[in-house]
Amino acid sequence: MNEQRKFPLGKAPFIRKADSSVSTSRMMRDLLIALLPLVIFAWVKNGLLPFLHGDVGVLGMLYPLLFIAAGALSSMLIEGLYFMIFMKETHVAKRLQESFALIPGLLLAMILPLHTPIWVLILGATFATLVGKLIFGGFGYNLFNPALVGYLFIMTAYYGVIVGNGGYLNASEMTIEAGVTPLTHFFGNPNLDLNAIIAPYGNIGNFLFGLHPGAMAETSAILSMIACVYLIARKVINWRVPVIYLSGVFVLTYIIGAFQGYALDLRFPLFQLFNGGLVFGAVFMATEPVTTPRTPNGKVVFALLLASLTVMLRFTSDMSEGVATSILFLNMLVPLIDRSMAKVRVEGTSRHVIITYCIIGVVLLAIFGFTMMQIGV
Amino acid sequence: MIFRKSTSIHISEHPGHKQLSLFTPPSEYKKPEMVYIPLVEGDPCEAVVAVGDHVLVGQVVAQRKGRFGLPLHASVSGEVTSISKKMWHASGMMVNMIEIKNDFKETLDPSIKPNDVAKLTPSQMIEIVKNCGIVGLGGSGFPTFVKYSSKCEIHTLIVNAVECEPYLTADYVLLKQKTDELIRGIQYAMKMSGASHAYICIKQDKVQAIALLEDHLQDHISIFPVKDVYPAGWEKYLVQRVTNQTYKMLPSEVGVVVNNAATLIAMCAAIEENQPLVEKMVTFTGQGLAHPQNVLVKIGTLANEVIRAIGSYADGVTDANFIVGGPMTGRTLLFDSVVIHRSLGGIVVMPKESSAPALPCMGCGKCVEICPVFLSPVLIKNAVDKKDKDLMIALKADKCMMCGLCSYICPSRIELTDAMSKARATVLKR
Repeated sequence: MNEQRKFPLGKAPFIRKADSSVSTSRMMRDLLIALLPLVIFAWVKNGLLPFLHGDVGVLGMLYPLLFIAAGALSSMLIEGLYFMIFMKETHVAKRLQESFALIPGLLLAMILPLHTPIWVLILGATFATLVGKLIFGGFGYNLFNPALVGYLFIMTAYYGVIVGNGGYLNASEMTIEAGVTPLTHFFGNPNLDLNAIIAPYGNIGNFLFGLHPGAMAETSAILSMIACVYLIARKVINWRVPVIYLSGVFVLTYIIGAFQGYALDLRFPLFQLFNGGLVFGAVFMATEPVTTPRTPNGKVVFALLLASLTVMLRFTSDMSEGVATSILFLNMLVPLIDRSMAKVRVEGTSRHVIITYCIIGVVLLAIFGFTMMQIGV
Repeated sequence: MIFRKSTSIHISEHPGHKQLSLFTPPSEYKKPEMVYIPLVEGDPCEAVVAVGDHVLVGQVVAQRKGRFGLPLHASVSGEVTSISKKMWHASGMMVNMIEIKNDFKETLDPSIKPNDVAKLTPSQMIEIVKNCGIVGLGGSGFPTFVKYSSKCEIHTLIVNAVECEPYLTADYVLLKQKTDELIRGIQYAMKMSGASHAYICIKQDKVQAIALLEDHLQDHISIFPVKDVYPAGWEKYLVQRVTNQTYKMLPSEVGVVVNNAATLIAMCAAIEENQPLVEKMVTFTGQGLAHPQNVLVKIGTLANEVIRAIGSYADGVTDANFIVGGPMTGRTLLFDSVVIHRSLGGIVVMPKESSAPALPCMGCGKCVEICPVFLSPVLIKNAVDKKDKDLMIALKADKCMMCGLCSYICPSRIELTDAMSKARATVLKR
């Protein structure tokens, strides 16, 4: 009497953003698009310009591109081998695409000094992929940022090799009398005043555009910032971490500078902001979704802690570069931050909320207070 | 309590989804051979008729038990032929239903006669609303009389004509057809609740309906346009927008009653004519139907009969989902012989979306950001995977209102809403 038609079952909701616009694969594609100008800049600065000046040959001109490609390919290769040998995977190419295998090696190559020997890079990329990613269970499960795991490994084990091989300065920068990167110059000569620190590199604008010695692709603050705007507009990353992290560092270093007599000189905080891997790290490392908080208020707390830790490490430890270490350290705390912030977010009672934020405030003050004490102001 | 306004998002996918069912003018399907009155509606219901009894249109055939008890009525006149599990209920299960064979005489129950409205007291009106079986037609099926029996002092009535669920247009069509009844229903509701002002909330882009409403507006009733976002039709969202206050359990805590526009139209008929809830405007839409449209149906009609009457399924659509409710919160059914119960708003037949499997979560946090009740779906899903009940409780999974936004926004197509409903059930069972 009543003929019924059969239908497949599904799960609500039946409209998914992933089907039409923001999907994981599109987000990764956008990330690569955002990285492309930085790769090109690295090539122009470290390969093309020295070549035009006659400082390097054709191979030297192409070297930056080969270097970055080698990093990306080796981490892809390692993950491919892992899928083939240990997982007995049949669709390796598809799995590699789904787990974004080239990202760790690509990012690693971009933050290493130009004169890192390729074998060190390959070793680092292998370490990044294996220890940073695969032993945790692959993409989505890793606790630490894989690229930074590889970076810290190289910097602790092979720093001497890199320095022996030529270090940070490209062929055209050998003429710079300071002979080191601006940050090393700054922390190595605590008695020099700011003008003397900046003088060997031109002016503060050079730091913004990235025409100063530094790691492969992270020197250009302006390009990283443009990439940041693009990624935020494409909803790939959230604005909270980069914006709060960078402005946090700016404010804290301004306070430090003010105590050292640069209260009216914004070049002090800007010098700190544009140098080292700070902007690159804030845009590409501190926003890496897997290893950073999921909760919006957690992201704010994470960024504030990052800012104070970075400043502390820069001004109190031997390592002039605090970005990588502070990001890795806070990666470890992400589950804790997320869980407590998720509870605060859903909680309606104000007491719990106030107590939690008070604890975080005290921690932030303690870190900054310690920094100020160490500097001795 | 810290007051935060809930988040919402404009759903830009499937452009023109609402227009789909507006191409064809609304039709009627009032002559089903059989109707089925499901004996479950939140609580179990008890039949008060037996097999073989002859029933009239609007005659009480069952009684919902418990605190929210109210009657269920026959929607056609005829003979009760069985009380058994025969047809599909929108919950995806077979439940006991009273099967009534239509005699096509449409004999009305003697209780359906005009009331002397001017003489009715508010409590008499509430009694009529209860006896006419008026429930929330927006999808919840919450008994309307309960909202007006609250002990809290009510100052504002919010009329929910937002219909934020994509594809559905039944409320919009009904509102344009019965604007007078809606305004009268609002006036009765204000009398019943003691509210001094009523706001008709409607999406700001529905200009035709807003213009029509403006022509009919009476004193103390105004239009409150809301943005075209989801979940703008959610009770808490509207109360937050209109009053700048929020509540824990019921809107009456802040002196507000929220009623769906279709409910108020049904309430108008109940108070004026003693007309029980026996008919309902239902949207039949989606790319899978040949002629998507709104249909006025008898409650208890089988959906597949209506679909056949309005031109059946579209050709060439083989792999479609049959969704009861709307595409955000609805449920797919295996068979299309589902009974239209009194709080069902729409049937959507749409081609299956890409069935790409979910990728591992990359932790972008979009689901946490979008959640209107400030939950953390991804953390709750992890707790569900680990069967960590304490964590689910600590993360307050029971607050979830199943809007579906977490799964909607997820770039990796993870079934977060599904995990949320599991977590919610686990916490509520405690």
